[in-house]
Amino acid sequence: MTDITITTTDTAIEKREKYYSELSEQLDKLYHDIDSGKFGDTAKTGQFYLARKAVKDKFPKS
Amino acid sequence: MIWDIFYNPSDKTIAWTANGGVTEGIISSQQAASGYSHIQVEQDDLVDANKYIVNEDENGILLKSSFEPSFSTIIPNLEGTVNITGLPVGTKVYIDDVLKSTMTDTSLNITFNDPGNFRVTFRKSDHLEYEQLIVVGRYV
Repeated sequence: MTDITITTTDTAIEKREKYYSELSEQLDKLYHDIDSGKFGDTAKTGQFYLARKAVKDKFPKS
Repeated sequence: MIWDIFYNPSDKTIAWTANGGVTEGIISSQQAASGYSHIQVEQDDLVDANKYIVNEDENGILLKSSFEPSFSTIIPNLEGTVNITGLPVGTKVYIDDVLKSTMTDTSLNITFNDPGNFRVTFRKSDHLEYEQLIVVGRYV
């Protein structure tokens, strides 16, 4: 068995950029945190939440 | 059709081919300047230097073999390992065009400690080049 270990010369910031989940997934997590009340009820009146919720309501999961 | 084949005698890889216009002067200068040996073969189809290699007896050409590796995954998690089997001994393993190892057996483990996309390439003189993109999964 031949073994190779890959490490890069990327900076910590570059590694973070490559390892963060896709932006849409991050925003969805944020939406669900707001929806579950982690940011308080007033967060549910904000533009981000309402816009995201409008799209989800428009196209509900079947 | 007669093809003139100029090749590296050490690994039998073909440097260039022509189907006409090759003189004794060209043959001797290619030997002197680049160390290329020369043979002539008869073949109707194009002799593509990337697809053929000169045979061991140096009196003909052979189609290169294909790699047929088996990957355990091509989307490993960070710090995960990809196990690859079915590689011929002597295969050179490149990651993003950097030579990382030459196979002394047929199984390979690659552990990815950093995120990103990585191009794994296998090269062997008597094989067609093989390339596979490995995408280390993002945080979920």
